[in-house]
Parts: sequence; structure tokens; C-alpha cells
Amino acid sequence: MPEVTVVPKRIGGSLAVFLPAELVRREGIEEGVPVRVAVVNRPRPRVRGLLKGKVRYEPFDRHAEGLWPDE
Amino acid sequence: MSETAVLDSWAWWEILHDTPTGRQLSLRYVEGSGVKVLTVDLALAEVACKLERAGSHAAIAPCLRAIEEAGEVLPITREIAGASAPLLVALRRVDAHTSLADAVMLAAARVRGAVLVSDDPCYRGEDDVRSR
Repeated sequence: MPEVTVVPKRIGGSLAVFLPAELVRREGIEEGVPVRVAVVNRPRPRVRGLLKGKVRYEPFDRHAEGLWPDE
Repeated sequence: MSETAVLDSWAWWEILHDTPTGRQLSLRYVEGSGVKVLTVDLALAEVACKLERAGSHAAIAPCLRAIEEAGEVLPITREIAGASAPLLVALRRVDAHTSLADAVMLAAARVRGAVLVSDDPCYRGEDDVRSR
């Protein structure tokens, strides 16, 4: 199934959905011909553990990092 | 979504490492479906800097992408910047080491009506800051 990232913009009560040209060509979508659009909640990507075992763990301490030195 | 949470750099770092605290935070805020997760753009820069210093340049892009996709990235808007200024002065009355970044994080949370998830001692006593 083709996947499209939809950025909804309400214009006068309607919903504009911009489709990539490549998808329009591939699916044979034509102007004036209705298409069915399903909005599916994507599962959130995995963040947890991305660094586990790859980067040595030291707690994040904004002050100890020295990123924002005190005056 | 019933709750909005701004995750500070500390929280993302715990989650990225899957520490016991990070696991709790992730399950509660990121992996649960009832929470809208916000990240101040400054936190992305802080996480990137920590990775660079750790010699893990290659990990920067995937980590920032994952954080970005896990919620909404908040720019420091005029409203947030304006709220940060008096907040920094107020926080420094309690903790002299409070940085501008600390104030920006809490200001961003308050502007968006969110809780701030951070373990920074400068926030002690603030009702809308959690470390769990």
C-alpha cells in the first residue's frame, strides 16, 4: 500500500491532501476522480535503547556538560 | 491525548540508553498513546553535543531523527523566549546555577500547558516538573 505523509491544511472547510507526483502516476490518480484516503496512526518510532551498548552511559547533566557555562 | 509533556535532554538521554529510569519514562510518556510529547529544539542540540563529545558522531542523526519522530519539536518562539527571561531570574533565586537553557525548557512547557520531565535540581519545588 502506498504511504503518504499528509499535512492537513483546512481551506474553507475542505481538506487539501497533497500527493507526491510519483504516487499519482503509480496509482493512476486523475483529477476529478474520487479516491479513497485512509488516515492511519503510525506507531511511534523506537527511541528507547538506541544507544544501549553503543555509547558509554553517563547521566546527562546540563551543568556538568559545560554546554552553558555559568558566567 | 490527555497530557502534554516536554522531555528535557536528560530524559531523552535516559531513554536512549534504556536505563531503568529511561524505561519508565519511555513507557509513560513516549510509548504510551495518551501523551503528546514535545521536545525543545535546544534539547536536540544538547543531545547532539553530548554524543559528539562521546565520540559517537554517527549516532547523532539516528538519535535526533528518532526523537523528532517521537513527538513534536518546539522552536524557541517569541512567546517562549519572553517567558524564559523572568523565569531565569526567578529560578536563580532558588538555584544560582540555573542556566538560560533550564529556563527555556520550563518556559516552553508552561507556554504549551505541559509538564516538564527533567531531573535538574534547579527545578526543585516546581509543581509542573517531574523526574518520573
